[in-house]
Amino acid sequence: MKKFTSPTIFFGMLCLLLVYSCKKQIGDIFSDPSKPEGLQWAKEYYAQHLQQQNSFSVKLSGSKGTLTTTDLKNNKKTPVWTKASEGITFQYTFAEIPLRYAHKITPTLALSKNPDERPVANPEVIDASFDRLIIYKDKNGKIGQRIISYIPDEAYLKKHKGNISHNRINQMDKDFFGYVHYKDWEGKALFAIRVENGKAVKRYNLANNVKRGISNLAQSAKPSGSKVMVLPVDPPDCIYLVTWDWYQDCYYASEEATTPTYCDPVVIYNVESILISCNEPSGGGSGDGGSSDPGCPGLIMFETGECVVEEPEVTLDSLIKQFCDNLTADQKAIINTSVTALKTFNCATKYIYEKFKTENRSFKFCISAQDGNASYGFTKGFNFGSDLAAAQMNIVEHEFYHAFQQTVYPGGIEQYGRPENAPPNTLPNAGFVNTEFEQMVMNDMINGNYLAFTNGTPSQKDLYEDWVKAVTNNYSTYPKLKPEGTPTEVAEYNNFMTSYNSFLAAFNALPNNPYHSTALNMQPYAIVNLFNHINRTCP
Amino acid sequence: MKTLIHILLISLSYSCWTQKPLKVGRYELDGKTFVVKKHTFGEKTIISILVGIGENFENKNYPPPQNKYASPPVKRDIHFDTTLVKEIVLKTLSKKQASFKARNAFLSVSLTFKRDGKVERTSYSLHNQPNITLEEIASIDKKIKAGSIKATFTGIEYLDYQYIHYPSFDVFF
Repeated sequence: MKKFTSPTIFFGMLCLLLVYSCKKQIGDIFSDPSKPEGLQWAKEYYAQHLQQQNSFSVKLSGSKGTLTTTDLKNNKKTPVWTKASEGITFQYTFAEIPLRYAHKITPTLALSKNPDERPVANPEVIDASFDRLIIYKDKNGKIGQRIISYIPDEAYLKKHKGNISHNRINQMDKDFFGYVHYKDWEGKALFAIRVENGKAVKRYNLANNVKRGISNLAQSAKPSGSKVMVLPVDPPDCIYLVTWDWYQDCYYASEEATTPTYCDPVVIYNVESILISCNEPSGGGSGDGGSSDPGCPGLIMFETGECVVEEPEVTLDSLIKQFCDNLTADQKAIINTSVTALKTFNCATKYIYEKFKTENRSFKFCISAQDGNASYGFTKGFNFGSDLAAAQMNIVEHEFYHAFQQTVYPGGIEQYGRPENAPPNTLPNAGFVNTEFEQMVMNDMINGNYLAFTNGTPSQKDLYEDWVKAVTNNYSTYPKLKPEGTPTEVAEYNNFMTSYNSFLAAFNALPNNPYHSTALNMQPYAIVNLFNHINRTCP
Repeated sequence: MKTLIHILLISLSYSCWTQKPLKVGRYELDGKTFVVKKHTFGEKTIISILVGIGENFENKNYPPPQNKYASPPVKRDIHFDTTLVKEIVLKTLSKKQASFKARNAFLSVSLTFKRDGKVERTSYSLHNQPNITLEEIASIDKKIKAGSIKATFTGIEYLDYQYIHYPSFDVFF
């Protein structure tokens, strides 16, 4: 055998020293960089709200088994932040932190006809169960906490060779069968979720649990190998969900270890039950994997245990550039539906929609109370006075025509807008009536409506309506106007404009007309442009 | 005998006078006023009949909406039985349908409703010169206003208006 020489030993020690000195850096390289920094908010919450309230006692009075004395022990809970992980769902940002106790308490749950059923311990299941602290922040920034216990079914545990600690509350094994038990920091049981195939299939409210006397139980538990955690249930008797809390002292290899190296045998510590149903078969949570419940397709709310489903992401219409910040998801969906519907509402809206899309135009949309049902402004975009207004296609169409006018009028139409919205250095009522009247005529010719003289006299109403019918050949064509065309086309245009301007003047003179303006007889650029591009049937 | 012949001739001429085609003017019948106008747009001539009560009713404005910027109600949000209106027109003019059809004549009916859905006002437009008399129009008008035609409204626009106009719709023969 070759003997080690001094230089060899020296070289070996040097290598060890080098490795040791590099240990911290190597560890840093392989650590998860997202953990500590991303959880600062959770750490601060813990420090401010939970750390000081950490002296809850474990009362062992009345228990039998390995520990036989009536005892009151402090049960300090210690989050292991180095093993914490962060999760994000559509409802929460949350931290999931392994939790160690001075004395491990493990709940196990079963459906039973007898709330005083003798508890049966399964040491493998109890040893593999573990607690985590969840500190969550909802979309409004509200922070809360829960302690969750993962309690596997025996078969699932065996399949994973006795270790299920890789599960996270938002990433559970697809073959997970068992319970997730929720309590608050003070230890009050809140609810339990039956999980099958990795999905929540049943929620049990534990808030009104009835505490059972341990002395009533037949005998305390003894570790008994491979006992089944879920007891058989036969209808039609009453069914209880029984929670047995097991106590044990566990020993860890280090301060940061989350899995104990050894635990004392369990002692029954607390029994609670809650009536689930009477005179009907089990309401779920059988634990045998046979439930037909498809499970919660969304997320279990940490506060209540209720299932919430994420609303599907709405694909925004390309004409929507942005929404006002205060709009709800429902309001955005209403607007999106209305804007998209413009594609098929009529040939005019279809043409304008496609024109805007081709020109990469998009708009801002808001909903807030205002005079009238809606308004459009070049800089402010569209505003609807209410959700109902945003859902009314004829109101959306009306404002859409104004957006079209903006693109075809030299210099846009904002200069002719509502007197109160008139830009600086423009006449307050420079030509408002022209754009509003033109919009109404467009609408009436396109849709066979009668908008322009709603407040007029019966004579005006009739004359206007007869004119609209005449120039559209009883709503079968659109007037094709060519102010720069041949002499015949110019004559036709002038003929049209004579009537148009006559009606415009009558409209402008309507009593208390809010659209009244001093400037009249502007060319109806939008009518000329639009009707030269569309027909009664769309391409 | 001579007197009898005279009476017969007078009766015949009176009945012919009352059946003569409409002419522009103002007529009173059944307590209503019928204002007949002629509109010419290019080559199209339309006879318009406004029906109302009271002097100069045709030149009095409908009241403005509660909200000055309110959008007027549109056709698709006004619902009533247009088929019933068409039936009234066709039954009243049943004897003349063939001649109207031959010249592509049609009658447009325009209704204005109150917020409770009742017909408040009517007007008619005659296209392609149908030979309709004032009595026939009065008969149609009476039946339309008898109470069987009632509208309901959807949307939000009508809430701002006291009177809701339904755009004219055509009855072909």
